[in-house]
Amino acid sequence: MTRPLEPAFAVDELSATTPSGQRVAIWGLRPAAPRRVVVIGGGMARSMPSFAPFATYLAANGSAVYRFDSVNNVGLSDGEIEDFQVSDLARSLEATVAAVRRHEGTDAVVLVPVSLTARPAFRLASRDRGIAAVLSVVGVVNFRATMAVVFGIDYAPIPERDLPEFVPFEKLPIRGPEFWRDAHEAAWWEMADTRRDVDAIEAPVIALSSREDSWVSIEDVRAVIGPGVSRHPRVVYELPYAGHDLGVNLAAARRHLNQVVTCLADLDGDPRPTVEPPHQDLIHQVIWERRLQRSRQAGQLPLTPQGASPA
Amino acid sequence: MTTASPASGTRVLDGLSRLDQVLYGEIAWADLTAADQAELRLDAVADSVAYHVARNPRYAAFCERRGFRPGDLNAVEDLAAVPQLPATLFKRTDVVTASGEPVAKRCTSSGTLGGVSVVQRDRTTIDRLLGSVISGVGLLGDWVDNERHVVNLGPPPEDAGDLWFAYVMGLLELIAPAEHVVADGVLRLDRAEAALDAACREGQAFLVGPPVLVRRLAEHLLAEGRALPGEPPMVITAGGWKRQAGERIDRPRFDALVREAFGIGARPLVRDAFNMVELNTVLFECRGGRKHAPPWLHVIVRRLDDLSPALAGELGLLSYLDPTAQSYPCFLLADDVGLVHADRCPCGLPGTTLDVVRRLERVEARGCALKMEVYGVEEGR
Repeated sequence: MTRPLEPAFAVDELSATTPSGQRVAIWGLRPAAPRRVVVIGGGMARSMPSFAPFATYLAANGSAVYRFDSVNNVGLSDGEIEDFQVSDLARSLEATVAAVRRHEGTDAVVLVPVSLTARPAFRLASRDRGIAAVLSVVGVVNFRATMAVVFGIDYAPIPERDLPEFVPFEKLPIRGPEFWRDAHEAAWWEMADTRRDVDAIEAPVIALSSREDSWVSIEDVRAVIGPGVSRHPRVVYELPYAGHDLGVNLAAARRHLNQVVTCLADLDGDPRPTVEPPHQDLIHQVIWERRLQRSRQAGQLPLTPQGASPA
Repeated sequence: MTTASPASGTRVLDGLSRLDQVLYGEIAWADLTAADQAELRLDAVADSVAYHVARNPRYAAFCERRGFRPGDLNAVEDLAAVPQLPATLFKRTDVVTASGEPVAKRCTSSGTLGGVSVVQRDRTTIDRLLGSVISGVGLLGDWVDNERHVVNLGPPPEDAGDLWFAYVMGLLELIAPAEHVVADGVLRLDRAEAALDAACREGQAFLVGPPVLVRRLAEHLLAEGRALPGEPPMVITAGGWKRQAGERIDRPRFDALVREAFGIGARPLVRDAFNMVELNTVLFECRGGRKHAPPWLHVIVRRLDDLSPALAGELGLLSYLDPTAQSYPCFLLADDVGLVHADRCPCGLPGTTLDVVRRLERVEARGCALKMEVYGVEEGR
């Protein structure tokens, strides 16, 4: 007889709305007595279940941890990925942080952006003094260089009239001119823009980077976040012989995750030893969340009575 | 919450081993020549043997009785001397290396040949098994996350228990949306058909399961006169025919049946995958129909009469040196007869390819040199 699959942490489902009226889907994992509030920002074209191990690690170590699907991206939020712009990610992150603050009743939020979300996370933290720290994981600092690798062409200097109608992100077509225009108008393209944003962050900025990351050069990370470039706390952790895709490289993901957990505990002076969640908990959380996502996409009811409510 | 200020600086974490770089795709198989792969295997197996000798007193004693020292491994040819454990040993005694990590998964075999093997895997070991699956899936094709839809002719992970084959198949849901169509031990043909129909409409469908259940579904579709919509599924079999040997058909007949039933035609979409509970790597067939040993897995075919290494192309007992297992020494004499191909695979990927031809027959097992004293257990009785 089939036994129900139990997630390690039930998913708390929230939502927020962007200024343009699009709905942002947010999932939270909440341990019994959370010691801090964390917002994870996922990578491009990755939906919330892809970050279930991240969230489970953090929740198992005392964080109330929230994720979101960006609007105009894959996942449960409004819009289609063909309309994606980096500013969509920024607006989704900002709306999520505001909703989480209301939900948790605190201003102090730690951002853990992964890959592309690091770029808008640095900008948000530069303007928002409630952001207690930013811990980027394989975070993008030179958007132009990363996109040149992703698309195979550096589109930044190309005149708008010469751009293709669609550019492929891992086979997913995105409207080229709109994406390009937003990156120019909102100053996402250049590393100097990132550096200006990071310089304005008073809170600690910690970058966990992989040295063989073909999407994010370790030299660029050092140039933007390295300890010599700011009077504010800046730490770079470098993982040798690892690359960008932590969904494939489980060994690299595990090292980075353990380091994130340790850094978070250090930030709030938590003396308790960090723990690795049991393997079975990680497996079940991922599978359960994948099923929850599918049921939501199909407009179905919660998987289990406790499925849509906090633990 | 108060936020402490960390001391600014740059810190270097412990880097990944070369084994993990290859296993987790940081270094592509295709970028490694046969010589590179042999060098990787020598280094990784030497490290693994030294690791288990240092942390597993019973394996260390076994090596000592065999007159083998880890320092003896200086060339690829030396690897044949690494003491290997008969897979049947896992049915009789605990085979455990003190890795310092808790057991993450207790894995059991189906007991096809009598007795149940028990293998205890820690997190590092099972992550590497998953890494071998992710890596091997690359042989099947190139898809992004949302394109793949799995129909598993097996139970969902929550029902798989410790049974290794069912557990591994269920874990495919980690990398793609999956429907599991075996409930209470019974294949629901109607559910399987509906799930496959839906998967073919949504993207690239993967039908995975033991050959006997794939055969039943194929015959069901043909009997009902049903055709699948959209692109045909990729059909991946695994686990062999086991107790359903009476329903076994040879591979050409099986392929022809599957191609007709699922509308596959001549496309290279019928693949077999090989694993056994004691082995920590899954081997997949390429588009040319050969099973590829990943670069880290050393395969030695041994002659049945004296267990000496056979030549390429010569049929014999399959044995493996798998350096990915940390919680037990994965240096195995299997229960399968097969061969390693002498030539390079037509698919172009460098490295070892093999055929698993049949299970070892009992009379062969008794007659061959499997009677060796290991772990204080007399094998072959």
